[in-house]
Amino acid sequence: MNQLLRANFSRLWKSGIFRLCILFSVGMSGFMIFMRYMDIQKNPEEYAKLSIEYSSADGLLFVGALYLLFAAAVLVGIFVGTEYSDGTIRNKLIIGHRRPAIYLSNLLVCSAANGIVFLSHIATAWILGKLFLTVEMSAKEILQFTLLELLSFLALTALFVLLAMLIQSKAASSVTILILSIILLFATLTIQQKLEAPEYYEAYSYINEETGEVIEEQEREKNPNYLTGTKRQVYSFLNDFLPSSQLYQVAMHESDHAGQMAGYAGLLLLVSTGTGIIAFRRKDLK
Amino acid sequence: MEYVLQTNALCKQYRNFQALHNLTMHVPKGSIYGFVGRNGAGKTTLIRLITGLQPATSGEYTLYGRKNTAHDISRSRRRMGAVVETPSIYLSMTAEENLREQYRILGQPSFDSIPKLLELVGLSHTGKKKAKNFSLGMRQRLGIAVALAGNPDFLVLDEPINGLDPQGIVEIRELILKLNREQQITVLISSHILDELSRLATHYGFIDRGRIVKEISATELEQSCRKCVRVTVSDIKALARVLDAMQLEYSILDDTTADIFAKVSVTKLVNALNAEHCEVLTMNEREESLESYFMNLVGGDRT
Repeated sequence: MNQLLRANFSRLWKSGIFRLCILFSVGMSGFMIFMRYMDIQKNPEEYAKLSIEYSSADGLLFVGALYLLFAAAVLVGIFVGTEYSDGTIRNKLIIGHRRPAIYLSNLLVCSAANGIVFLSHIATAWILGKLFLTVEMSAKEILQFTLLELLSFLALTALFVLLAMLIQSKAASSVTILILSIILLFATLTIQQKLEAPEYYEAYSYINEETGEVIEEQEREKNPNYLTGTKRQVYSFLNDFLPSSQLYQVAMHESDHAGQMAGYAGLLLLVSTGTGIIAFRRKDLK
Repeated sequence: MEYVLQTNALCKQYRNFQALHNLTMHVPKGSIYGFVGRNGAGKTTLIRLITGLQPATSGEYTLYGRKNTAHDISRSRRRMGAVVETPSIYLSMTAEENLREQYRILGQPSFDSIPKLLELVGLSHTGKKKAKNFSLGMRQRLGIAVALAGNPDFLVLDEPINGLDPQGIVEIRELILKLNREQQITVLISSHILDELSRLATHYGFIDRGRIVKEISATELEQSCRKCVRVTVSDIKALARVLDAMQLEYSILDDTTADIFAKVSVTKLVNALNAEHCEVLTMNEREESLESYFMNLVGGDRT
């Protein structure tokens, strides 16, 4: 296992896609902070009217992780897929390395890679935020959110590695992982939209100011799309369970279910790794 | 005889297709074992099984005396190197980087022997050129170098000369012979290019439809394929007496037939047999190539 890790890490440091992902991660942080800074410089009065969180870097620290989802997908797809496309996974098996060790070494290296990409994003946002804006969140809050997002990120990585290790075509696995990322993000946005929908539409009336005539009037009305009962419970569960939804919640600084989300992320990580190892052990490799 | 690899009734089933049927074969230590069969006969499937890429459906094999089900089979695998189908190399790395990566996988403590290995396969001049820019022959040689990284005693090469130009074929052939003669590495080489195999192999295994139809040494095969006169007579004992008296080399095939491995004066032979009251029924000249031997074994009419 140590030999495999040593070989995989050595390959990772030389990997062009890993460097690109870090560049994307750091660049995105810098871009977001810079854009906020420029906006504040242009409209200082408007920002002065708003609460401090709008002019601080707090809202930008964790939102980038949602976009890093795609970087993680590409990184895993290419890093693991290369083992199949170049046939080098055979070299490991032929000389007697066990399949679980091969699987776990790939998982560990991909997790480390995605962890580094994620942390480089947070660190850049925090440093640039301190330099150009302000950071109002406490160190404890930042650490808590960082750990939670990191755990969600690792759960996602485990899911991506599962697919990459079971699909023997680099192109097919990369596309599948990318599609899964899009589906997860789309599901997260849909779940959020459904859960945040108001239970009631507030009453309103349009009145012609000149004549005083009521043009249109609507009484307070129940929203038919408001989720209730089991349906709401399922959506709430998915909101806490899906790693992409966890990333979204942390990005919005919602940490009411932090413990639950961490538990689900850990569970997903364990289940996908266990499933992956069992399936990979039985797999016919070419 | 000591065997590096022995398989016993190996079977491999892929959904509705049975690729190997009770395949039994023996690879002697120190040999170059030519594994011959047409496309789809099961050569690569067997190689995938013995290299651990795929599990067998049933049956077993032993590598250096250890069964495939043994807990410590990985110790036998450490003595093995293989190039299965295409060379297993990182295309984005140089030849040296590829070897360094394999050394790390093997847990080799130092990279000192890499230049020597590159020299052995004739790739010491490639410098910073990435493997994706290598010719097919260079990739094949790098694949072999990767397989040799762990100093194996047993090298498995699956169709190593497929797609190579004549010079590439000669280079690979010379490399295999060098490894076998100078380092005593046992080589299992699968191919359907019989002419090329006949220049290398010391032993042959012929596979057809997932079964080994014949295992034979190169010496025995040469004997079978020698130019000869096949004679059918009424009394085989009389023929033997006459041939012994004439001091001719021969081989009796059955009660009426024998092969004579010499130039025969037909008149003298017939007269001598006539004196023994033995009738010559047929007589014809035969010469069998490895190709025709193979076709006779597996039947040439099937596709």
